[in-house]
Parts: sequence; structure tokens; C-alpha cells
Amino acid sequence: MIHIKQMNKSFGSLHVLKDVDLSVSEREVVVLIGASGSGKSTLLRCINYLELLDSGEISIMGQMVNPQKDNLNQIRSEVGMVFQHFNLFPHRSVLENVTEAPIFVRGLKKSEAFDMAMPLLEKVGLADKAKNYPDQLSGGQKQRVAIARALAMNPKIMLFDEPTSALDPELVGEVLQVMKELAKEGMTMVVVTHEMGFAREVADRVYYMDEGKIVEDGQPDDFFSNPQNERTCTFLGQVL
Amino acid sequence: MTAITAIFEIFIENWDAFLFATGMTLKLTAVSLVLAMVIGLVFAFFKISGSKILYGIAQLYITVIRGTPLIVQLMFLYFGIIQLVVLPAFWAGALALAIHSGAYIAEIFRGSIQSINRGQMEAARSLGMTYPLAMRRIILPQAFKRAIPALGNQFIIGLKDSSLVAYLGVSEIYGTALYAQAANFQPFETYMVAGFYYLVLVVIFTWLVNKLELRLSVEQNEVTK
Repeated sequence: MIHIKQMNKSFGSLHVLKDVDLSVSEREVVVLIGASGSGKSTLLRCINYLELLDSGEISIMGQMVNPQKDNLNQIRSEVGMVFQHFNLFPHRSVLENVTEAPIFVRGLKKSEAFDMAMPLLEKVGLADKAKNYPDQLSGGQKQRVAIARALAMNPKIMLFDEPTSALDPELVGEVLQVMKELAKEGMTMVVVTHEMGFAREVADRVYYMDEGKIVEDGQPDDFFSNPQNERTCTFLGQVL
Repeated sequence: MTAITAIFEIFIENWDAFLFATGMTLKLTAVSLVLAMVIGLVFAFFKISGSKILYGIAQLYITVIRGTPLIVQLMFLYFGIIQLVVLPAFWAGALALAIHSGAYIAEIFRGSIQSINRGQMEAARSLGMTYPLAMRRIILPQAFKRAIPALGNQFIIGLKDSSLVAYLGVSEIYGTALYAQAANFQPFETYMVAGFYYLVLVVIFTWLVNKLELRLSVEQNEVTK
């Protein structure tokens, strides 16, 4: 589904991603872990071209992404993204947040979009909040709306950029629960997270990043119980 | 006592002329501010476009307008414009006022657009929206709401600045006072009446802006129940 080859990215003199290769197959759940500043969020943002690469190639669902051509918007509409700080549209109700892109990007009628959005809100447990505005929701509720908003475009791939890092500890569970269900349904997912429990339980493959490189990867059982790389061991020693 | 009586006399004697003049002032203000909003939005986009040329054009325009007095701009534009096309004084004045306010409104819009968290644009783009669509549906509605207090202020300035168009021969409030005092030899009382008209207009306008601001913030909170 996603193939990344020799990706490089710098911010000024800071070389954030160094020759990164990554492949994600269909229905696979990939978790990226690593210390802050290791480049994992940048990697995720590059997949969706929120950051432009300096060099390298990304192909998504067999299509080379070319930001100069029109296919970027089309690809983006099939790749859902969930942000650390939710980025809900504050001037739109919960329901409108979910229906905005289906109506204005896909060209659905309002009534069709509403019929499609309500089951999604039910799925994330927020059908009763459809008429509310984002201001009136808790962090966990906002993030669940953000997930519903991304799902409304029927994405083939979902990207999660530290989806629970801005949440109060007691609200983390409800968001992870929704993500687990998505994984169970077979959604292809790339998740940047510090939730090791989630990685262990849900991931098909875990990647550890350090200083802009993927240092180690493996299946979660092996990865967590028997890490090979020294830096991985140190990191896991700190977070587990 | 006699001064107050005189003011009332002038107020009553000239009420029809001033009423007509008030209409003229409002028309001038409305036309010029609508045009200024369009000009302001265009130049705000020039400034955030990322193009050095467009940025330079906007910067030059704003520098020239902010760096010269409105009365000079009015005269310059008026005598410049009438050499090219025959334009009634009203339209020449409205256009000049619009070009003037447009520079300030451009900065207001630029500031409010840039004040919107960039996560909003990222979220919109990540859903497949094009840049213009994300601007129109997501960024501008929020930016506009944030700009209302500053816009309201600029509108009040625009309303009062319209008095200078009197010098192009437009009979708005100040122009009417100019004629009236030349005829009645009571400049103090006459200008007092003119000032009163402006004050009432500004007070009404301020009230309307406050109401709009309040309504926009209530709109979101009402739905709670």
C-alpha cells in the first residue's frame, strides 16, 4: 500500500530523515516508536505530503505521489490523517466536521453525507454529540470525532500522528479502543505513538526510529522481548 | 443659553439638508467599504501568497497609502482620474476612500488569516481539499470572525474619513455644514450640528458591530442543549 524509498528530509541544517525505506502492506498495522526528535512524526507527515521531501520516492496504492500534479489531492482524500492536536474545525458542528469533505471534495448531497456520517459517529460513540461544537467536547471526544472525520472519506490508509499524546491519561483508553476496532476491521494503519501497550497488542510490525533512521523493526513480540539494537534496548528500558 | 438655542435653530432649519447629507455619507461609506474589503482581501492574499513579486506589490501599495495623508490621496486620485475618465465626484470619492481603507483592511485580513492555527489548513488539506477550497470553507470563516473587532474600528474610521470627500463637492454631512455656515455665518453652531450627526452614526454603528460579535459567539454556544 505504501512504499517509501530513500527518503531524505531536512529542516534547514537539521537532517531529520536519512535514507528512510519503509513498506506497508494492505491491512497491516505499523507502529513507529522512538524518542522525540527522532523523525517519526516527520516521516508520517511526509507520507501525506504535509512536508515536502528533499529526495526519495513515495508511492501510495501503486501511484507515485507528485505534488506538482493533481493526484496529490486525490491521494490525500484516500489517506486519512489524525493529528496530535485534533485540528477539528471549531466553526463547524461535530456533524459538519465529518460531512465537510464528503460534501465539498466528493460532491455528496447534504442528506447523503448526513446519512453516511451518523453511523460513523455512532461507531466512535458520539452520535449524541452530532449537533455540538468542538469547544464543548473533551479531548478524547474531539479525537474520536477527528477519527470519524477521516473515516468519512472512506480512506484506504489511516495515519495517526501521536493521537493520544495531548490527552489526559484517563481519556487515552477511549481513543485507543476506537483504533483497535479499526485495526480489527482490517484498516491499513501507520501509527506514531508512545503507547507501548497499544503497539504490543495491535501492531503487526513495530519500527524504532533514532536520529532520522529506522534502526530496528520486528514483530511486536520479538521486538519488545528481545530487542537487538543497543539503542532500542536503552529506549525500551526508559519507556517500559 | 443663546448658543444652545442657536444650535437648535440650525438643527431644525437644516434638518432636511442634513438628512439628505446623512444618506449621502452612508452611501459613500457603504460603497467605499465594500470595495475596500475586496481590495483588502486581494492584497492580503498577495502578502501571504509566497510570491515575492505579489508580496512586493502589496507592500508598496500599503506603504504608499499609509505614508501619505488621505486628503492628498483624494485630490491626487480625483484629478488623476478625471483626466482619464469622466467620473462623478461621488464615485471618484468612494473609489479613493476604498483604496485608502483597503490598505488597512489588507493588513487586518492578513493578520487574522495568519493567526489561524496552521493545523486547520493541514487538516483540511489532509482530507483532500484544495488550497482555495480550504481557504474558503475552513480558514476564511474563522479569520473573518477574528477580524470583526478590528474591521469595525476601521469602518468607523472610514465613516468619519468620508467627510473629506466634501472637498470634491459631494454634499455629505460635512459638505452640507460647509455650505450652511457660509450662508448663516454661524460656523461654531453649524459644525456642532454636523459633529452631532457623525457621533450618532458612529454610536449606532458601534452598537451594530457589538451585536454582530455577540451573535457570532452565541451561535456556537446555543446549540449545547
